[in-house]
Amino acid sequence: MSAIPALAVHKLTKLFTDPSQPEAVAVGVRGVSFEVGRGEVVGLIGESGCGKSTLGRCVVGLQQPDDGDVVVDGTIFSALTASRKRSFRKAIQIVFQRPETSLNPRMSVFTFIKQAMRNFDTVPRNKERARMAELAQLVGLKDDALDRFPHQLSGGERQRVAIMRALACEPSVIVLDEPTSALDVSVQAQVLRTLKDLQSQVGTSFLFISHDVAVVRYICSRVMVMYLGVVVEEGPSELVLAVPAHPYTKALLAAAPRVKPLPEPGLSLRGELVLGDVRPGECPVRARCPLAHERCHEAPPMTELPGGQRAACWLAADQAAALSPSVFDPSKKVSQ
Amino acid sequence: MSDILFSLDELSIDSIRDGERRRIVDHVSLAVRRGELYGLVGESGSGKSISMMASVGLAASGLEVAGGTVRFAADQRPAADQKGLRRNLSRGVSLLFQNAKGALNPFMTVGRQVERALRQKRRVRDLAGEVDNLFRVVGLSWRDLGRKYPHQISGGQAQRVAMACALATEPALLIADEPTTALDVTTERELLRFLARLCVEREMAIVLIAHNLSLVSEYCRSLSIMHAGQVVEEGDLKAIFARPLHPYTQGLIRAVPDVDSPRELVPLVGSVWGGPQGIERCRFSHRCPHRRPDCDRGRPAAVDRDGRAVHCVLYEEVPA
Amino acid sequence: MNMRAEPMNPPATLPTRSARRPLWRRVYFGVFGGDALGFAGSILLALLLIVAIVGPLLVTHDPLLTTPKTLLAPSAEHWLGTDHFGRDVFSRTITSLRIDFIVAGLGVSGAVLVGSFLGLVCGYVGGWFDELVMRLVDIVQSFPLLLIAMVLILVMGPGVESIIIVTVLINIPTYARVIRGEALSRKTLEYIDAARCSGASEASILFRHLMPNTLSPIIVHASLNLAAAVGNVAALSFLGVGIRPPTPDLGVMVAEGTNYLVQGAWWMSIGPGLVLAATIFSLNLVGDCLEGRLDPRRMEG
Repeated sequence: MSAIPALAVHKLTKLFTDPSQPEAVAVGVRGVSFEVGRGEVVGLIGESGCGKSTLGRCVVGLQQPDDGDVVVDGTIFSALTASRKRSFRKAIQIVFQRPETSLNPRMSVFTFIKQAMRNFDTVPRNKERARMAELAQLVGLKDDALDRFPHQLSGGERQRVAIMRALACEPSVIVLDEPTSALDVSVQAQVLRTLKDLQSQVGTSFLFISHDVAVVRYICSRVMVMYLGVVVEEGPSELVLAVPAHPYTKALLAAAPRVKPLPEPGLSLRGELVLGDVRPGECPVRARCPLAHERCHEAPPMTELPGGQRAACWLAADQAAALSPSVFDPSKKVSQ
Repeated sequence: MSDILFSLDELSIDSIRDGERRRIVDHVSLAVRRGELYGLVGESGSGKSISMMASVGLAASGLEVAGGTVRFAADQRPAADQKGLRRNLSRGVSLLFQNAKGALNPFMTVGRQVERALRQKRRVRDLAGEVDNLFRVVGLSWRDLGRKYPHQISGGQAQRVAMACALATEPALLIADEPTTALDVTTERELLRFLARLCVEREMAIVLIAHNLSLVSEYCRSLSIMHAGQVVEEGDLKAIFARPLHPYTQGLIRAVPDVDSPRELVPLVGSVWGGPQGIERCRFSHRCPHRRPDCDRGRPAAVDRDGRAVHCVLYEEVPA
Repeated sequence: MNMRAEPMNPPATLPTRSARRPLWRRVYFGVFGGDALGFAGSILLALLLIVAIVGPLLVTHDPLLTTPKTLLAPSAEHWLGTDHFGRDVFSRTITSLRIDFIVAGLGVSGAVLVGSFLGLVCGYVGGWFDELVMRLVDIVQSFPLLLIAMVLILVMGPGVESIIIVTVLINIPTYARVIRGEALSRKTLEYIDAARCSGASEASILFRHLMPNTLSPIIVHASLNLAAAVGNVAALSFLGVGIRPPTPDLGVMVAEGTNYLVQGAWWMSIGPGLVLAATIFSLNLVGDCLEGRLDPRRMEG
């Protein structure tokens, strides 16, 4: 990538300890680093407790990280003062999961979105209506929706309004935190299709957070898989989701609901995530991984695999070493 | 052929709000055999939950049963007899809900709740032993979890506890209303697999209510697909998936992203409740690419085709 | 994780048949949701309010004029009879209804304004300010109502102004608590975050985005509060520390009338007493009806 990436995250850390289990390992985000290029759609997959929502909130500045940087369009967003942050917010926006609470019940759609336009001075006042109509068309809403209130809109329509609000700021990056998870199957398809189309039209970068592997496969060109605050695998969707290298990714794929079930059951993790079973410094998946062995007591580094795929697993490291000794780079360590 | 344990016949339910009456379940019929894992699939507004809740006498207030009969084992009665139907809940029908933690009593330990469920059925000689056994059946350990409260255990564990309570009365039929929707995919898989095993081991019929087709594909043998209160396609799951006939079923399959390929999605147009209101019609017609005048002339009859029945005028003319 | 919203009924944007239904049915179901008691209560309250507003035009005699025609039973001349000073009970009742509404109304309004503002800021900002204000509120609430009222009035001297101030002070805690709770539960909702991301200042978020959404419980509380306030004003006057004679007040009239009940002059207490009861009753009915209508129906984010 020659240009400055739209979003760059360096060693972001934000941890929460469960007060009822003070010795257990903390949840949140640990030392995560990645980049999202201009116009790229990057997916972030993980189940509950993996820290993806926390990561999303830190990235848009709704939460202050304990450590690490969020760099948007070359500016260190996380280091800005509160007042500067307010104006810089324009560049990075978010769409939330729940349509019921994403919109202000007392504001019409027009008024709600107008705030963003006015605060960031995106269009002169007399052009506001026209711009809103444009945006409405872009997200697939009819003009008359603009003067409606949230309780007069369906779930799918509300999500579209949320997307409109994000777009109205003219951001470089939009973080979408499970934008379709609370929607019905058929509505989900409509909104996803809209998202994909408008992304290619407008060219904004997306960070698409979801637990649904199929959805991420559909819309994202690159994907990261998170578990307990750490990225365990990343790379082009075509590779990671078709030939996963990390056991967790394999288990996720095997467990994903399918219309045509796979002939073989595939890999599955044992039990559920129990924080108390995870020791600091080890591979976070070890306690549940069917392929775990002695080395796993030490957190594996990220291994570079062919095609831009990377996985944090000793077995993947073996695989890479077998292919070509030079590919295995022990200096890239995933910090705990 | 094993006998029918549970059936709905032409069940219709209206919702009454602000003095207005709307039909939300329209002449729904289905039949579940003993020991069968039956899928009932539909999006929200399809009436799937409401139908099953009404079949055990739990229709919410504001809803009125407008017709139909419910049969469970030897008992057959009009669906409007909600009080009578509720008795089935202590005679062999158990329920599982979506939000397990919410369905459990927050002030009682999970062990005690399973105990109470057991006591409901009959005199139990070795209560502690039975409780321990039930925990093991659902894959939990009473020693580890028995004294915990619902808020102290995970969602998946809570759902298993709820299952233990449901199984305590040794039901012949288990109605599971989206039991895994609130859970992670990996946990969901475990639980669904477990349900499928239970079905076989205990010869217990299960009606699995789900909001998407992919969930039932691996576990159910028969299925009904509902849209806006009507059954659109029903029967042998393999037959339906091999060749979906109803435009809604086809649309659903095309509209869901595929984990194994990035193919383009073809969303369904319109919304569940559009189209002409207040007349008897196929309630999918306003969204259907094959719409024709016949569609709005009345409810489409069931047409048998290759092991399933499809409710669509498209198939009515062509002889089977 | 996958929590689906389950709308049981079609969304509100669809055309319904209500356009063709008679008006009274639409109002009865649409506004009151078929709540017969609420409907009746509202009508009663409306009547009382009209009487109070139109008051001076309805009085048949001067409410303060004493005449020698004392303790006359109800007649065509004096609809509710006369009291021990020969004053027309009916006219006094109507006048005092007006006064009571005004005093209670002003008192509750003041409490709403001050209490809501405090509660909003406490809920949103939290920290030491929240702690301080809430502890003060606790202190005020821990004293019996009438005791505080009597002490304050003794300090300030009796009269209409004192009662209004006392009503304001006594009722601030209610609104402070309620609005604080609303603010607390809403400040973490996504649309507040969305407003932040849209570049809104903290003040803007507080007053433009959060506040309008916290207000709905006020209407319910205020109507129930008004009922209590009217009762309190009457009680204080009954005890002699409220509105002073000769200004008529329902409580005073009931008090004076009890002295003459034994003599058979029932009209002195019963008339004002019934009106007082009707006022409080209708306010309560309306409050209950509002509570049922406003909370579950609208999705107040």
